[in-house]
Amino acid sequence: MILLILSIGLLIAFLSPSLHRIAKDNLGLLLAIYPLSFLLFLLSRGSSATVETHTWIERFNINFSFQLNELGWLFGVLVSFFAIFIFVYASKYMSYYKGAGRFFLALCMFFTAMMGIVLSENLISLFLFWEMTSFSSFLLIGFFHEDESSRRSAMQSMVITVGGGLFFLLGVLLLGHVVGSYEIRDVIAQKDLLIGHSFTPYIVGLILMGAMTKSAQFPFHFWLPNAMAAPTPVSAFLHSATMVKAGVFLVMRMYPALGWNEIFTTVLLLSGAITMLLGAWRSVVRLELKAILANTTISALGIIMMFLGLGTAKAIAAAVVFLFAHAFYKATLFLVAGNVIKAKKDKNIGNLAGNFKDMPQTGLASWLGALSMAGMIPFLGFLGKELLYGSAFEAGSLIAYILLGATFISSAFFVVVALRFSWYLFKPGSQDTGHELNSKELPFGLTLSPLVFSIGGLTLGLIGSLAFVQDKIAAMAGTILPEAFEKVDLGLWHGINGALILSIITLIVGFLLFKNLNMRESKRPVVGSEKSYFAFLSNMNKLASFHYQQMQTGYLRNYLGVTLLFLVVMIGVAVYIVGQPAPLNEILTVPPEYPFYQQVIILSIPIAVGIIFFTNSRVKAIITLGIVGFSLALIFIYYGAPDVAITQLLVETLTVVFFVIILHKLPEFKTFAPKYGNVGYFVISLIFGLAMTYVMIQVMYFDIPDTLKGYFGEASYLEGKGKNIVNVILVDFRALDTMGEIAVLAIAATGVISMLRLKDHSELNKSSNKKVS
Amino acid sequence: MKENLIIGALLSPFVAGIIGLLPNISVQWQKRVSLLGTISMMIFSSLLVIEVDKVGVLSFQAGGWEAPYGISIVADRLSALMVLVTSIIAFPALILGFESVHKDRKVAKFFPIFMFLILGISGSFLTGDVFNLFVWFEIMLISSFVLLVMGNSKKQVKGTIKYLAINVLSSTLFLVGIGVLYGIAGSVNMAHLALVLPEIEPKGLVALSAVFFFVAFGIKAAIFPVYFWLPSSYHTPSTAATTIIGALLTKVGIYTMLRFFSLMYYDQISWMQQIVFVIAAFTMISGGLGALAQTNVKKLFSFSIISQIGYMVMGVFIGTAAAFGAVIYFLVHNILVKGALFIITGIVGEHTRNFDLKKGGGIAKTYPLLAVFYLIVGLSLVGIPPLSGFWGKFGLLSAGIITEQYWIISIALAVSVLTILYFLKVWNEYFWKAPKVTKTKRPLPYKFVISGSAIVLSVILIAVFADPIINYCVQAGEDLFNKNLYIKSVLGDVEISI
Repeated sequence: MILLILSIGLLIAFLSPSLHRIAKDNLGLLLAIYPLSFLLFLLSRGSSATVETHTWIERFNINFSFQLNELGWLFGVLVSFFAIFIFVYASKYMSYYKGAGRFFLALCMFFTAMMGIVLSENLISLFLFWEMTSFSSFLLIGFFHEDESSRRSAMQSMVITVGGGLFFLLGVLLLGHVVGSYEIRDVIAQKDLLIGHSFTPYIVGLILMGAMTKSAQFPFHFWLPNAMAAPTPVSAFLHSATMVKAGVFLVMRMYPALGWNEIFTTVLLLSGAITMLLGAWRSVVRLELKAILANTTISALGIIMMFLGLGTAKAIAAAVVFLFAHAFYKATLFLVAGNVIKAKKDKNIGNLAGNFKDMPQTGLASWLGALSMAGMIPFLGFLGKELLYGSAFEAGSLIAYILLGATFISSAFFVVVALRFSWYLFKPGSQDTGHELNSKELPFGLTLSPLVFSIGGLTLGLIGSLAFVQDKIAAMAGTILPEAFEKVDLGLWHGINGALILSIITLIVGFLLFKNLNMRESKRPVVGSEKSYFAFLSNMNKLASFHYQQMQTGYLRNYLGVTLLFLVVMIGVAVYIVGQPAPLNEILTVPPEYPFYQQVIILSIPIAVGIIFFTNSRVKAIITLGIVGFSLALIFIYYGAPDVAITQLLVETLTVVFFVIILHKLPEFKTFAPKYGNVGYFVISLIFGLAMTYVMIQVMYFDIPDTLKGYFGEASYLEGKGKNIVNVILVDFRALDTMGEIAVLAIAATGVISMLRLKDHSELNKSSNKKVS
Repeated sequence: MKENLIIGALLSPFVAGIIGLLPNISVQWQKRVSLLGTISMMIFSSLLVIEVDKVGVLSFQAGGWEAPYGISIVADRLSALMVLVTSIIAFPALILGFESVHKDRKVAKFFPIFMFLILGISGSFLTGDVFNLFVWFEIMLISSFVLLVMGNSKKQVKGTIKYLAINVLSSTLFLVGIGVLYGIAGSVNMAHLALVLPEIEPKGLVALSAVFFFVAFGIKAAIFPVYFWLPSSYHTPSTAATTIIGALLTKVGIYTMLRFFSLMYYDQISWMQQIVFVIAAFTMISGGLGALAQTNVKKLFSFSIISQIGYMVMGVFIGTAAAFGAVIYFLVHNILVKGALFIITGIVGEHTRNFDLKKGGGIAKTYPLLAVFYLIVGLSLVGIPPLSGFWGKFGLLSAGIITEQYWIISIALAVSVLTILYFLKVWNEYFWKAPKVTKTKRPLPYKFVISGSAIVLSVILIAVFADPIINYCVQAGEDLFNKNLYIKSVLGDVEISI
């Protein structure tokens, strides 16, 4: 059933460009039916432990399998709920741009992929959807692809997330190798196999690489702010509420299997803490609306990862609640930012003070979202922060207190950002004077969704203590760590305790910071990992060109030289590893005896070759080459193969004749190689010659098994009815070879004719006077 | 007489080629005959695959001379599949050629030579005889020379000279290898050699003969550091020729390597393995870097061929049944995807008369269909599931994990980053970037659309039917590993002492 829905979803995605022609600007409203029905499906089904399995690749034991456990189910509900209102928003938003069809194609594909991730039970099918989110995100970030920066950002996110996906894949493969199954429930059930296994550190590291690249954790955080090149609905949906949470989801999903591992928790703690502080600091020194939000998103993801790393029951409960709070207020604020940018055609927060009168509805949403972000009672954000603080207090260790401090700092910065998005951007009763007067409130289609999300955050905060809400969220936390089930407490009032006091201090410090921090832009990077990315790219490109120039010199002599050397080296390696067939001195102790006339023939070959090497005349070279051929023919005669010798003689004669005919038509011979460059080639030739000689004398030293000889000797007369064995072999035993060779001749002849007949239609005519190198 | 299917598959391109060479036959008829030959070959080879999947191996002796004396023609699962894939890629390449080959070239028998190239390739896949393989190689190479040089432009001649010189050298080494092999084993029949070679002492001699074949096939397959000829020549001829040559020729090298080192030289893998892994690693990296440095799209994908060859060489020398199966799937995937990349970028290039990435742009806007095609095929190349490249990679990686070859598979995985980079480079520059000069949009000729759709469809289909295809490939890999089936089919019930 789930597979069916997902497949239909993909089909809808691919149809959206066509649907766009019918539905026009209401395409998003039409398509919103898809997440809506997914949501209704999930709600009607309820969570369950049933696994739905479809065989995918039987040989590799890979299935499409899905489940609706508490974690996946609630994530699914969250994602589809957001998707509905993002689709509604995007419907209006995209009517201002061309290409809504392909936009919704990618968005639908993304939504499907995200649902696939949260509902997958098999790690390989999870990986499929994982990559699909990366890819659809790539298309969406690059939506305005005629901008260079858009393309660059899209490429960056693709390289980082798909690159991280490769590590993830290797981790999954190793995991599957150890456990013997890719089904997550099997992995969890057999986690004992992982304990103490030498693969485990690698598995943990590799899977975390996947999660951290996707969730923009330090040192891979930098792609996320650049991803803001995408249209606003995408930023709100993919890059705050859902896709970047995929990494967090993966950590949660694998927590029962890997959470016991110290590397796992330590990496999460460290990288989460750095990410959190880095994002928080950056968010207050950015002026671009979406960049501010992107950095707070990075920070929030860091918080979630860090508390997952802390790993106490209450910390995990806190991480889950905070995840929900963040999703609601961040989506709200992104849409608010989108509306402001759309209405005012300005994205610099410094120019945008006081828009409340112009945009009251957007302003209201912004206030509600910001209050949740700041952690004001009774919003969901308040509950999240309470739990975060409370869990750190409860853990009580030194690390927990350090974390508490760091969380406090980030939360204070969150308050600053929240105030900028409410008090500054939408001060009640304020009037914007800097922009055109007609920059009024946007249509309902664009204000509905931010209002829904912001009210959602408020409502959940208010009704959180109701049993059915609390139970669901607690059940989700319980899937990650069973003990966490007890620790989810969404009551608003717990009396005056450390967490509450710290919350109040956070608000005060945040307010003071807001008053005293200048709104200024500082792009000076705190850490240089984005720099390293660009350095990696440019070094890669430099290395590539350097390497290309080194390899492809364009000189045939270099190519042939390297090729021959390669063969010699391989022969050397073979002899070195496997050993000589027969020791060389043993072979050489019995030097063959050659009569005088043979010695002359044998000696004439190297002499002839030497002449070729030093001559400057083509005719001389050809004739001396002829000497080599004729000498060979004589040797054939001596060894009892007159027919081969005759063939050789014929070929040699013809070659010499043809060459001489052609040669005088060619331009004068010139040496292009550097004067002493030939020495190197001479050495290579010599080494090659020696290596071949070595191989030949080794082969000659052993007797040829003559299974074939005997058969051919008998059968050629008796069965082939021919007296000349060679002839019978050629035209009967191996007639197929001969036919093939005839075909070769025919093709070669055709080739020659076509070369002679065809005129070059581009260059040759012009350059025929130039010398051909 | 199921063996006739093999003959049918070989005769189809052969007869089409011969008819095309007849004097006074019009270009129109050359085209028709070639198309007919390709389709007939496709039918025969499909039937062959179905039949071979039932019985395991089909073989016969040319001229009826019994093995090991005569020439054996053998179709096992691997061979049959390769022939089928050859015919599948030949079809869109041919259709592309109908539209794009320059008129003069057609007069000069482009299509018949194309058919002979297909013949040589299919013959190489089907022969069970080492010397006969040499002959098929000759047919294949001479046809490819002619296709490469046809058109006579200066850069073609320059490229072809390098191609010719190095490939003739490779053929010579191949021939020397056959000589050495005959010298030590007294036979050229592969099945017979599979029985004889493991018995031969001293081992050093067998190793020496293996080196010659490794280097000769390595040159054909374009491994590091002997791949020079490929990037010098592949981008020069017409797109149809580049497609078929680029998709298939290097893979024939891989096929023969796979065949030789599974059937005859299996015990050589142990000493060669780590050395070959080093070579394979350099091949992957070097090809990937080379691709990244290019601005000519044909040249870029020529280097990409090299990079992918590294993966296959690695798989052959992992040397388990699973690895062989993975290599076979990778071969099928790579032939189709590489062919598709050449076809699609070729269509763009031919249609806009520009193969330069720097000058190109805007295709996503003007020809969205081609952009979609490129994305599908490019993501297959990168190995994004559920597309075919993923399963190739998956198979190779898991074969590597099982045999504990960690360093080489880590490199294989890391090189995927290079693949992503050059895939994106082409996409950004050719498809997404706004063109410098906006040209008026001309509709795509229908032959381009057919050719592109056919090849993209086949790339999609091997992903959709991944399960049965992988099943077949894994079975083919096991056949290679066990080899008894092959030997028995050729030699009858001989005493097999392996």
